[in-house]
Amino acid sequence: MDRRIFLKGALATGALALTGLDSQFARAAKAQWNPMNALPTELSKPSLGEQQLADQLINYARSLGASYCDIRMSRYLSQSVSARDNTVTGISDNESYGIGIRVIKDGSWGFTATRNVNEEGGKRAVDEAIAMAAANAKLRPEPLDLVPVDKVIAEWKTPIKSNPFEVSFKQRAEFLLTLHALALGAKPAGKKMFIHSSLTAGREEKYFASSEGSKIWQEITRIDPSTHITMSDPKKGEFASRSLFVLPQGRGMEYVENYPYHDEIAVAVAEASEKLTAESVKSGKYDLILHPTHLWLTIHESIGHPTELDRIYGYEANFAGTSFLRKKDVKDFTYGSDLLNVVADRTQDGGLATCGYDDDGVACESYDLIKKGELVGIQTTREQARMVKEDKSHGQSYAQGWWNVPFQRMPNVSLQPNPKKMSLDDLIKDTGNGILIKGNSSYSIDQQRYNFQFTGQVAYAVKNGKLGGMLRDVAYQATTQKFWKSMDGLCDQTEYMLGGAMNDGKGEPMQSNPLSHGCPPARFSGIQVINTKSQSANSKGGMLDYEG
Amino acid sequence: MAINKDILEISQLESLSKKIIGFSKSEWCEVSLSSGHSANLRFAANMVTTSGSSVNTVVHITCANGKKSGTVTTNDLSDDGLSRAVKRAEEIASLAPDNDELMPPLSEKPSYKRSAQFDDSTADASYAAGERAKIADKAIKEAKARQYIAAGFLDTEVTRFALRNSKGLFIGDQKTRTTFSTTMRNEDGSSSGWNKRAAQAFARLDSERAINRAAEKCAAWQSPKEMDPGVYKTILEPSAAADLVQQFIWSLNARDAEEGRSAFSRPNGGTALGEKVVNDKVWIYSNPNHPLVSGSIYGESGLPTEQIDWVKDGKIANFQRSRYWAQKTGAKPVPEPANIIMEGGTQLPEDFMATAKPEGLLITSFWYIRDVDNQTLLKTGLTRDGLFWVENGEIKHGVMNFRWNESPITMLKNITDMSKAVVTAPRDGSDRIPMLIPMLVVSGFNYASLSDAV
Repeated sequence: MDRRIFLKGALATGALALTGLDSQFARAAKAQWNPMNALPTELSKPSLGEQQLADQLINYARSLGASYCDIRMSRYLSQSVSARDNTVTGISDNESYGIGIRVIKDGSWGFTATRNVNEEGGKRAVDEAIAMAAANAKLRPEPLDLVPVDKVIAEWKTPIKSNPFEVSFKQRAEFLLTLHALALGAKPAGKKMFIHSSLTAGREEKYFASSEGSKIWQEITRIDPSTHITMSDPKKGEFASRSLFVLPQGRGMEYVENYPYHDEIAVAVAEASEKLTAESVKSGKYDLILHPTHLWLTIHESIGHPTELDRIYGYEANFAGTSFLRKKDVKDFTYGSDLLNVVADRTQDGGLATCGYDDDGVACESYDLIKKGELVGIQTTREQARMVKEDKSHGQSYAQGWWNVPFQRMPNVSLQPNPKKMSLDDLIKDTGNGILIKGNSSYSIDQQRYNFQFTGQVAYAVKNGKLGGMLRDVAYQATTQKFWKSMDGLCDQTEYMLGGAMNDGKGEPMQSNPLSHGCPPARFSGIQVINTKSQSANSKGGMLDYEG
Repeated sequence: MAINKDILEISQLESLSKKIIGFSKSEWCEVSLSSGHSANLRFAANMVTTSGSSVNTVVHITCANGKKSGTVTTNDLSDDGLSRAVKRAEEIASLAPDNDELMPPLSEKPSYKRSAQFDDSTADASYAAGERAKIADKAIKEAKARQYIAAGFLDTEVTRFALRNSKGLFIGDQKTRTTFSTTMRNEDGSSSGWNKRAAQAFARLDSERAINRAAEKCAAWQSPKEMDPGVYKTILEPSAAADLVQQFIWSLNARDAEEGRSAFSRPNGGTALGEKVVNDKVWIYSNPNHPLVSGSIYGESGLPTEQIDWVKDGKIANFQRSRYWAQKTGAKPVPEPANIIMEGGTQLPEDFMATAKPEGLLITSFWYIRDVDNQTLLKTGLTRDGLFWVENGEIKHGVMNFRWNESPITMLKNITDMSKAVVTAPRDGSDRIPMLIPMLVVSGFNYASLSDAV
């Protein structure tokens, strides 16, 4: 492949958009980053030399008996600004470049990664991967059988409007300080307030080439802003926290610029303060209205993970766990109420798992996981599709870095809104004895994804169709299938929001996977709520109180 | 002996860091480097699934002028790449607002005690690769013989790391670490057992014992009984205890406590330093030169790690304290723990069970531990892969797993007895930090609800 195909779109993030000295430097650094470049390139796409090296290593692996080989030649960029109160405490710029080489030899995988992106280092890595595969083959009764994939020559970029790497660090630092000044200005008298923020931009520049002839270039951009407020009452020695509901997305700086910080910051400060004196919840059963700023993570834990095919087949038994879904449940299981429609989608706008192609070189797609409460789909890779008698992968292969082996990772998994008109106000009006929960705090679920206990950032009583006062110490416990069967209210598209996280952990050694979950608010009837202040051996009746 | 040639020697890190400092024109510069190889093997469903290895060298460069600093991380070690990284750090510093918390590098050259974290044979890539496959083979054979399904993970890491600053300090260290864990499940997935080992030297990893333990737990847990949620006497195996001890130790932070936002804050700006917060049997400390669990010889900015008590006679003895907070409050900086050692009794766990004859729920491992209430340090989590009812020190029957809500402070308060401390690694927490922890017997632990998970 000639590198000219890569020049398309070079001007989309072109030099005219530069805003400061540092970004000009970034551009210059980018142009020269690879010493193998004969000429400086406008974009950091693989040079002809790098593409030739990838081809050479694939051919070398084949000459050593590999039936399959793929190369990911990738550069990972991350820039972060962090602030505490009225101080910018750190600005950092991180870059990592290397190749990950995956081979199949004698029906078994081998994988080696190295920062030495040259013929000598690359061949050494291929040798190690081949030796590993050969050694492992003895411990593999059935040879790997990847489902076919189209040969693809393509490129894909996250469609961003404002490249965060081209916004000067100064601007990013000032943005956080302004935000903190707003919050500190709203602090109530007599309290102490602490505020932490960070703003991280990440980019994967990934060249994938395989022995099947695919050559895919991708540039995936993500932005991860966060702000946490802690309020303390120094006289009592008590404190409470409230995080802003802002979550990472697969977008550019425009996401941060458009986020309603000004509206939320004063509310967050007031809520952090109110939490110190709010009414402590009474344990019991409630109808829970879960806001999208909270519900996305409930979806992640109780729908996203159980529908990973590798978990169902025991591949994660030693670490992340298996699934309550058994092999025979795949595509034949009632997951929840009729209102439950869930889509797996690596093409979703703004999604953190959104890309053009997965790390098997499979084109990303959108498909149903759950339809009207029935499980109809499952997450697969090229290695796994045959397990469920499919001849096409759903494209869920992903590796955290060039140094990691790709494996099955969760795509964006989203709860579809109610086609019938239903606002959050309508849902509250329709609720007798409930609690509205917003934001995420503590999330814990067992290794087969049955039993979970989750908490939010804020909770409000809902009484006879009206929103009441704030409640604190609220946690809810449920089991997955019962919980989703109890969903009896769902809002429409106008209330839909996209949540997400950068750090979904799975695999050994553990890899982080960025992904998003969209949903509208939903209601769940008769869910067990516990009071977290009465949850310790020594606060239960005093029978075990410590003496001396 | 064949240590991967892509891993740099400490002498190479020394010259590389000197070169980097040489590129800097700023008031001061601090460089931290690490070069390592990690290799692993995973197995599941009685076969090898994925395995892999990677080699990398990373440098972190911080350049500062006055109160302004910038940090750059790169793995491009060419002269061009390094000089560009330094320029970039300096340029970031020129754009950064003043940071009042910025600490200059150490200007003195501290003396360091040399620990023995490195084992040559573990670092020998060809030796370790062969051994890894043998261990997986053993686990799979044992599983097949019992009609079980084995899964597991074996990881070896060799790392050389160093720190240099422009005031003349240079310190280098190296370590090897290996961990092995395995899960044995019966064929219908109705029972599961697990064990994990950690060692600095591959040869000291008792994989056979881990395999047998996991298989025995799977056998013993079949047909578990359901018990009502509530408070029970509890016996925590060292790995389970390690998870909650780790959670406790991470929360001992001077700044959080003194600013009033920690479980160890007290009214009107006070803290729990010196206060008796747990059972007076409890002594938890770090000692980087402990022969069984040697740890890093330096911490923040090259501060030497020393033997330090965290809890002695049940009283909080020290908080971890950053250099900035130490300067601000006129106290001594205390680096993060190099390892975590909890003194226990005199008998190894098995002998302890036989002679102390404890009663209660025996927990093999914990899973998915999360913070619930930072004011009380309340955590939630689950029991996993081996919860048993024990009488007279003997397993009576398996018990269905529980979700629990409990504070590690309460756990440490309620200790009634302990075995001798053994080398262990937590399942849920970080297994990068070496730990020596006893089996704990506690008078009460709070189980909140049932989990059907196996």
